[in-house]
Amino acid sequence: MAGAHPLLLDHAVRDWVFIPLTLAIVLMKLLTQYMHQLFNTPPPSNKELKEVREMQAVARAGRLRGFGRFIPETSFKMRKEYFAGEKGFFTQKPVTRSPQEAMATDPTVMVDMMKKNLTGMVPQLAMGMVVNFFFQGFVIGKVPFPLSPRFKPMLQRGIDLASLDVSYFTSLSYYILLLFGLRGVFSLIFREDVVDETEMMRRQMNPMAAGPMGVDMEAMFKQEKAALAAVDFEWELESAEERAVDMLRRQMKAKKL
Amino acid sequence: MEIELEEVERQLRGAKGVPSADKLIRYLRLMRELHIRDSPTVARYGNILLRHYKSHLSEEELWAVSEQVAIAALDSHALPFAASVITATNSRFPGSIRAQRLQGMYFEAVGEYGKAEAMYRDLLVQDPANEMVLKRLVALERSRGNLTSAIEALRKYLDTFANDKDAWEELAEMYLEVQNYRQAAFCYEELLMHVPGNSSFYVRYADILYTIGGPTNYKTARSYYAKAIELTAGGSLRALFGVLACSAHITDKVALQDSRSRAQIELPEVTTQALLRIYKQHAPDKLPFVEPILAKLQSGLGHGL
Repeated sequence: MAGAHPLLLDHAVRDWVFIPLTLAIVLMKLLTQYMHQLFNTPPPSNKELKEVREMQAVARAGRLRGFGRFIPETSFKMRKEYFAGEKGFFTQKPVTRSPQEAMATDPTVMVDMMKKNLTGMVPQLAMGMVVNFFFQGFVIGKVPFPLSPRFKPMLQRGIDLASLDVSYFTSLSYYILLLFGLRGVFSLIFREDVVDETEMMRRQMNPMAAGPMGVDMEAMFKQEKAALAAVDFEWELESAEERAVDMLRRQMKAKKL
Repeated sequence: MEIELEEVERQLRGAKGVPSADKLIRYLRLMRELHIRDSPTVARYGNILLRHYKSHLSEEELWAVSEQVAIAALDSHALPFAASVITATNSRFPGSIRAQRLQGMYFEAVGEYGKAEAMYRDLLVQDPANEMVLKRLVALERSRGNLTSAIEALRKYLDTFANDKDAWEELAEMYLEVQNYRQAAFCYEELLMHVPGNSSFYVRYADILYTIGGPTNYKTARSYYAKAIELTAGGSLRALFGVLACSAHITDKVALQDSRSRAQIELPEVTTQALLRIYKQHAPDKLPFVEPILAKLQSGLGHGL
């Protein structure tokens, strides 16, 4: 007998719950958006010159390994010595701090995280609790289209009525719906990046996430040094004259030249 | 894309009166993507676009176009126009390093190098690792005519940003200007490791080695010219002549031991044949001049080359 008669909701529900809830959520999102804009100083360019230098040096060493065979042997050896030699570049201790060090020593990182949390997630959580406390246990609206029963737990938190039509939802579900739904609307209104707390939460929950605070440079130095030492140089142009002769002969035969 | 660009250019030139907005927009966009710097044309069309059709541009594109047109205007010495565009950009993006560097470029264009330098150093305090500004410092020294300081500044830049291919090219050119061939060769080695398929790098590198001279360098240069011949399928005349020039300087006899030495012996002759063919096909009137030169190179005379 599920949902044979449509439920008639009291006007009072609409006036005192539905509309205020909607307004409150919209206002709250607006507030968080603007607060984020206010507080969002551009991330301190923690690309210090020395750190960039080390990153780039590692990349250059990689290039040397990959394409070193195109330069003469003496030149290759000279560069190899520069990087991996006794007093080479990679034998020195890198300036770039590893992520753990950075977290521990740099206070701005902590403050930044706190700010993001405060302005972003806390009001949402607080509001969620308020909604749950005050507007619990009743249905506040109906979705205009029929849904499969699998949406029941999503739309009807807190009400365990098996016979209730799935299209009716409670205030808490409505709150969560609006929270995620308004993000799309907001991105249309403000053409810039909307505050994306879920991305932040996702990043925090992902244990493998590489933080923006750099890589373990010491390990990379060791790696590159070992890799360079292991390279066996073979000049690509050893056979250059042969190939040129072949190419010219072929071209002349094919009347291309 | 280049074909598209030519098409649009032709349309614009043929247009009577004021050309249409979307043609102008497309032209400027293609110029941006292809990194072509035809400044007088860009400045002219950009002027029309910004004056009459500003509303046709999206916010993002408007400022990309402004940057492009401002630089073109500075190149063409259309200073008042450049100033107006730069002022507009700076008021839209106050505090932006990218916008302020345009301001610095303006100072360079009017010759106020002190102000430009002050501006750039200021910006570097804000962001010490900003490549754009660091490179502007190099350009500034160039404008001032201090090639040595420019080289020094670029070396410092490359010490940090060791993978900037264009910077290595620029440094190589500067070293060549001051005739520091060994350092130029070093730069070209970096370039070879960046784009190992670019035949012109091989030719230039061989040129430098040949210029430095010495028996090992002649041999190495010949290998690099040979590689260029292979890469261009015989299309690079410079490489072909280069092989002959190097061979003429290599006086020690090569014993016919393996395929490599055989190629070394055969290469000059095959190259000469190829060159003669090319001249016969493309410039037969020059043949009488080329033949004696080739004969001389073939016979291995070292002087006067």
